[in-house]
This record gives sequence, structure tokens and C-alpha cells, in this order.
Amino acid sequence: MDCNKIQDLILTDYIDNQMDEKQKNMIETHLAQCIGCQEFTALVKKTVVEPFIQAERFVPSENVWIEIKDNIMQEQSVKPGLWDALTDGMSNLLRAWKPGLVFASMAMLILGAGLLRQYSIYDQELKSAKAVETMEYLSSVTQTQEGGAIDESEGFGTTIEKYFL
Amino acid sequence: MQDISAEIIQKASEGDLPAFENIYKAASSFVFNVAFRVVHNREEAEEVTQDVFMNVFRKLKDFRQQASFKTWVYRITVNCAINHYRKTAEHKKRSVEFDERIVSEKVFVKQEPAMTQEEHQGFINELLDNLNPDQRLCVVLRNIEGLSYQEIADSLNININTVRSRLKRAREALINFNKVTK
Repeated sequence: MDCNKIQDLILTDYIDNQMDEKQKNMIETHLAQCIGCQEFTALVKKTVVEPFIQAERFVPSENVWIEIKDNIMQEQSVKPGLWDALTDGMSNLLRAWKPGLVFASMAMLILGAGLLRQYSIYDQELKSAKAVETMEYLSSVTQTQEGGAIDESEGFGTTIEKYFL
Repeated sequence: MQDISAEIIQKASEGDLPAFENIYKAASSFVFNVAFRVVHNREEAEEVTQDVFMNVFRKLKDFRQQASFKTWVYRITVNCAINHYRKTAEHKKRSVEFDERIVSEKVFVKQEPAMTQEEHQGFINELLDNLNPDQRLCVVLRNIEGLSYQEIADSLNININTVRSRLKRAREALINFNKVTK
């Protein structure tokens, strides 16, 4: 591994002790024979690690807890309004019914898919029946036309026809 | 951050104030220190601390016991601190010129053999000022609070390799800052 990759690891996992023993040994073997990386490690420790070792720990003033406590007591003393009660109730209900809702949704999906399929089959049957009907009609019309013109002299035998003829 | 028992968390989630005070005692040091390192101002850090604990109290009833309570508090803390920082960022931008003028004086102080505690804290703040908020949070959580890479990743809701790259860039910036001010 070249020095750039080694130095990337030194800058992160190595100085933070976030690597396993195998990786650590590999870095230390490299460090034992590379002066450049030794100097880099020293620089990192001096500029990146040491300044934070003695970082003071601060304590919040006592007023912080007093104010938090007051705010909580104030919130607890305020009775929940109708809207809060409704939203709380709804969310509790949803939480309790969650498995049931999941099951119901799945059942609805399956049912929906079944109905859709059923409708599609019915629709296809309907369309094919209509197609047959249309074909039959067209065929009868065609046969009529092919059979030649209606012989008008024969007439239809109606009263009005007799009157005019 | 000290460990908090599941029983205390349960009681606090039911509105038990003494139980919540135990949570405050165990977590307030972590919350306040992270907030202080991000916002660099005691009053603002106290404001952030209040926000964090009010959020924790309100959301406790929705907290699932299977999740890590510590990580949950870390996450609320970093979110509140970063939101507060961003809200006041505009104001801070305006004071950059002033800060730049005082850097050289502080750097001179840094070269003195023995730094007072106050000077040392000023120096740490100065180092952190060289970093963007994301990098700063990673450095604070790792170098000051001692969180593992995985804990930082969980707190910031980012990939562990993103933690590595943020720390790498932050540390490169700190090394460059050191070279420039030598």
C-alpha cells in the first residue's frame, strides 16, 4: 500500500483506534520503515488529537433544569383540547389496529385484483358476443344484397299495396 | 453519556417528572457540551439544551424500547444544535470580519508555552470555526465526546464511510490551519 493510502488511514481509523488488529499491524509495519509517514503521524497527533484531549467539559446552569421542569409542568397542566384528544385517539387506534389494517389492505388488494380479472373476462365475453351478432347481421345483409334486388312486382301483400296497385 | 435503565425511560414516558430528571442528569452534560461546541455560546447552548429535553419529553411516548435510547438522544441533540446553528448562521456571517481580526492575536497566544484553560478553550473554538457544521459535529462527537464511528453514523443518520470522509476532510483542514498559522 502506498503512503497516500496509509496516511488516509492514519488520519481516520488509525488515530481513532477504529481498525482491527490486522490493519493496525499493517500500518505499524509500514510506519516502522517510512520516515515520511512517521512525521505525518506525529503531525496528526499534535494538531488533530492533542488539542481536544484537554477540552473542558461544561455544565449547564441550574436554571436550565428549572426552566425545563416549569415548561413540562405547564404543558401537563394544560388539558388536551378536542383536536389533541382526537388526533391522540386516532393515532392510538391506528397503532393498535396496525396488523389488522395491513391484513385488510392485502385482502382488499386481492379482492380488487380478482374483481378486475372477473370483469375483464365478462367484458371479453360480451365483446365477443357482440362481434358474433354483428357478423351475423352483416352476413344477413350481404346475403340479401347477394340474393339480388327484391322483386317489386311480387309485392308484400299488404292492404295499402293492393290499393295502389 | 451515562446508561439509563428501561424502567426509568418507561416511567418518564408516562409523564413521571422525577424519572425524567434522572434522564436529564444522565444526558445533560453530553447535550450541553455538543450544543456549546456547535454554537460557541453559553446562552445559546442552554437554549438548545432546553429544546432538546423538551423534544425528548414530548417524543418519549413514541420512543420504541428496541431502539438505543442514547443514539435517539444523540440524534435529537445534533438536530437541535445544527438547526439552531443554521438559524443564527446569517448573524455569524456578519461577524466574520471581526473574528478574522482576532485570530492573529489568538494564534500568538497559542504559541505561548503554557496556555490558560480559557485560552485553550478559545483555541479549540478557533479550530472548530475552520470546519463546516457537518465536519464540526463529527469532530466534536469523535474527539470530544468519544463516540465510535458507528454511533456517529447512527446519530447523524449517515453512512459510516461518510463519517470517515467528513473526519478526513475536517482533519486536513485543521492541519492546513496549523500550517498557515505557524
